[in-house]
Amino acid sequence: MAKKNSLKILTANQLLGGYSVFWTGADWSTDHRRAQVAHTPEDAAALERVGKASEAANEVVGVYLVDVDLGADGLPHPTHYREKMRVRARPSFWPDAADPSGVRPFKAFVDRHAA
Amino acid sequence: MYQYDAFDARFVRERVAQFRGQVERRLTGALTEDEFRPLRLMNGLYLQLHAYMLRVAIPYGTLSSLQMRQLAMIADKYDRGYGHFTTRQNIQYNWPLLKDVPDILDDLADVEMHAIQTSGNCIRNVTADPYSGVAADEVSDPRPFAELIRQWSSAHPEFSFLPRKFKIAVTGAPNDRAVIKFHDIGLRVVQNAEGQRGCEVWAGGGLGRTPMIGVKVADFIGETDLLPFIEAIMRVYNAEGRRDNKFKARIKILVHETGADEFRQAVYDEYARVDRSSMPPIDEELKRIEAFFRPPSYDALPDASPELQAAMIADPDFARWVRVNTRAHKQPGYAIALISLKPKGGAPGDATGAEMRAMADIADAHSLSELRVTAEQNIVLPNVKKSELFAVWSKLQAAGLAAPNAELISDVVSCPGLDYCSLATARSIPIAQEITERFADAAMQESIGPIRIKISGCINACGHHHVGDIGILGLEKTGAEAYQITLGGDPTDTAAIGERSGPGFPAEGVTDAIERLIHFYLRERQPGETFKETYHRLGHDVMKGALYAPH
Repeated sequence: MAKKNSLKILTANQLLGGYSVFWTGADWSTDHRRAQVAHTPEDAAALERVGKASEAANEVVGVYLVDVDLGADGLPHPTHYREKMRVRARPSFWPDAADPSGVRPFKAFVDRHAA
Repeated sequence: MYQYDAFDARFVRERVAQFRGQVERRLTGALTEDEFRPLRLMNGLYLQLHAYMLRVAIPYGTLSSLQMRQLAMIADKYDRGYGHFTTRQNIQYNWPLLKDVPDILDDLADVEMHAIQTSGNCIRNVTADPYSGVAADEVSDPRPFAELIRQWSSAHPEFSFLPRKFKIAVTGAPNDRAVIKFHDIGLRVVQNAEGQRGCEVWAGGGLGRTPMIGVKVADFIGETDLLPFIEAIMRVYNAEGRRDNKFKARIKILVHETGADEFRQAVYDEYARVDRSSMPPIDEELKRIEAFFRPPSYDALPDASPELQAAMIADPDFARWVRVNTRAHKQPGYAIALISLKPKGGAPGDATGAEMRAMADIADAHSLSELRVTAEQNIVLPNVKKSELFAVWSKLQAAGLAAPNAELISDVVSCPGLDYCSLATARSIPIAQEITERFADAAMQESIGPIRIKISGCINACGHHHVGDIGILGLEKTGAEAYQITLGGDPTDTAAIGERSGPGFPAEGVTDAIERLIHFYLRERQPGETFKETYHRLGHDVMKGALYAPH
């Protein structure tokens, strides 16, 4: 999925919850905007090494690099629609404001559906 | 319904305990992901786009109200308050935490359910006609055969590592509602000229990236010979099916590359060698299982119900629901009622915990505590007195479950697509939602008549798009979602694979294209003609032209 010579961030699934996480340079975050950006192939290779070590430490699974652009906010945002979907941490037809943690019961959805 | 004996109960509990240990070892790091993945998949646990997904088996789509309530409890306690009923009559939870899954499996075992063999290269959950045991056109209830196969295939040591997954469907009616011609093995329970019961056997059907219609392997296999015959098919496939290429590993490839005659001969050669001494006496086992599926004690009723007729006259909305969402029952005075899980703008097949509990309550009050899941992602109340249909409808309305659209244009079948699935190449649910909104008008839907729209978010075809009158396949094209439309698919006895219509559409163009096609059909159809009949009369090229007609 990642193209050569583009900006990249490192992503994986958290082991316990399976939800998407992104490497910030210090830890894993559910917010892709906090991700550390690799500007060179060497940076990307270093990120991959971090990912493999984290996998080996049983923190995450399924590590891979994602192509990003820097947005007007100066923060990384995926370029491919699949990854844009994934960073939402919820189906595209759910409201934006809901459940950013990706782990708590999504009461608003249930209430709306039951209404 | 079948009830576990001591062996079944112990087997399921032992599997839960095994998996609990495996999860604990995974969380401590004693098992790597590579080691753990096949173990979790054997217990129905996938890792999807946003979270883990647990697929729970609903054998041949049959549920008790007690089981439905437990599914609701699991949705509320461990997930996000809802579940997704699938095209294989199962339910999927989209947000379980890994640490909770053993507890979920224990809770499932409390109501004689599990997630075993809902993934992996094994014999998957056996599916069946959702109207089994109650359909007016049925020759014999197929569920005892489905249960027999389920028990035989559970943890079968020889068939746990097949070249690829393996799906078996059973119907007991001449009108195929189990899609038997598109399964690895499809069975139809029939009677031969001597009045003996057995099965017509089909093999080598399938959807996915290479859709194929199965071939008939046998006109009649007596019921006591069925397991040896299936074993012979499995053995030929296990030995000869390709393991070098995942995309060519299903039995359909073997059957069609070998040729029907040669494959059939290989099966019969193997059949002659099957060691029947390794199997229990099948007639006794079938008899034991059939005792669980005896017809319930129906009240003796006249077929016509004055209460029903009066209510239909008094309330046109109810009358429409009866016309659209009920089916003929074999017992006079009773009806089969369909609960649509396709509300306007909803995600097809999704039900909240509250909705599941409402359906369970209605089943207790009006359907002898039984429900079914259909391959169209709806729920069936199989045993409703006609005189109680109005009460059922009123309660469904109160629960938001009374959409009168069964088998109509807004009864859209859809896989989870890219909103959930890590394999998907495009979203499917939002397309389904737009179609249900565009065609929400109930009178218009009934006027359009029966039509199957099926959407898959990738070439694996979990949304069964190949067998939709209108099939929609979501793909990636130059970095964007694109949708290819097929026409003329048919999952029934007149099985057909939909034919591609031409260039794909962007997401925002799909519903407009379908609307153009529907308007063309409404204009061109002859009196009483269905969409399918118009398609066959006018031909593919004429119909597909309507998709691309200028605005």
